Amino acid sequence: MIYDEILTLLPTFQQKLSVLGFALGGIALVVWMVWRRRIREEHALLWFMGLIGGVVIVWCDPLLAFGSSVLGISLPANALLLVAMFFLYCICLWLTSVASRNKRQLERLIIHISIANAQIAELRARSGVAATGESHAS
Amino acid sequence: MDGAGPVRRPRPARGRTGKFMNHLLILIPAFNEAQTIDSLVRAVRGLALPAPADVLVVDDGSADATAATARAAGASVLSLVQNLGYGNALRAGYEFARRAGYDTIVQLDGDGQHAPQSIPGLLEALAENEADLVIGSRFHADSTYRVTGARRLGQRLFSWLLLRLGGQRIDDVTSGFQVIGPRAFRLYLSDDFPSDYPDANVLLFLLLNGLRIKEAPAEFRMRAAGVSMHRGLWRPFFYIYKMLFSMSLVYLRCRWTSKKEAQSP
Repeated sequence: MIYDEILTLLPTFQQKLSVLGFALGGIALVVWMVWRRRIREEHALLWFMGLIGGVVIVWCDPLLAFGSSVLGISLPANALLLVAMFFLYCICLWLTSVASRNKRQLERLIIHISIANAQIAELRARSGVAATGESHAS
Repeated sequence: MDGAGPVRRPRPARGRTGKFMNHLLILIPAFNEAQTIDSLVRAVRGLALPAPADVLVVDDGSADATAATARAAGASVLSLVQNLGYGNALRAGYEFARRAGYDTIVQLDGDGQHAPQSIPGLLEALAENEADLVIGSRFHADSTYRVTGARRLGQRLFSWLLLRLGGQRIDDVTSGFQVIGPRAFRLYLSDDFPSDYPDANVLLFLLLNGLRIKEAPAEFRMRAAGVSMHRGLWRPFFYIYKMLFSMSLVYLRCRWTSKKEAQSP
């Protein structure tokens, strides 16, 4: 019964065109950012998949209707919003894990650099070579 | 570094207690402690210890003359190129110690709250009790150090949790005044060592790995200069959150690991 109701509320052709336009604009923006080296290719892949997936769901009426009925949401647009929010949540979580890993690696790198500086300073002191620039150890 | 700098690999030496004790590293993390570090380093260097010892000050990206003052006082100085926080300053010191071959570390804060005169007593406690870690405790009969209400309440909470989860009562769970033996040092070098607050969570990690922790009385002084890292409203709140979450994770991870080891043939 809910499935029949959902079929009457599916996006119109104009709405589908709007979604397609936004997705193409989004893809163009991601490509431009990769071009400008602001995003790495592997990170861009996730955004491509999200945008293309959104277009496929909107343009494929049976898929959207089935998904809405499974989720128990009578308005397909709301089901789409829920899926989009979950997708964004997953991306944020993944980026947080990347940031945490990078922070840990950065801390480790700073420690290694500081120790290396100290060892270089000691070697210089032993060999009697004057240190050049700012030294971080004595 | 001066001639006794810790970069050189230390040689074993026979200690005053008769037990074989390796070269010691006295590790002092410091951040903007130019006012206290001079007297602290001189006091540490003037101690009669049961084994040869080097003093390493880890300057955690101080904006003042902490590094230069410590160096002038006779310490070796490891200057972090950027401020990384207390836990990371300790990790830098441990990594330095590992590369140089030290296996016993005496750790005290650079703010002068930990009295260096207590170090020989802590080393004796390590040797006599055959402990892996000795904590210098401020809670003993002769102590003049007073902890304020909220902080004391927090101490008791984490002490109680440590008893429940780790099976050992430790009163001063937040003391950074420690003597770290070789077995504890190996665990301190693991990636799980916290980069911000290494307190009750680390003690729980050691206890669940079967290490022996002892408390010994130590003299603590009130801070003469500088600011506490637990100042303000946000930091104590974050500390409690972090410690509770971290202790839960340590407990579950250790239980999970021991369960998997028990199941494996």
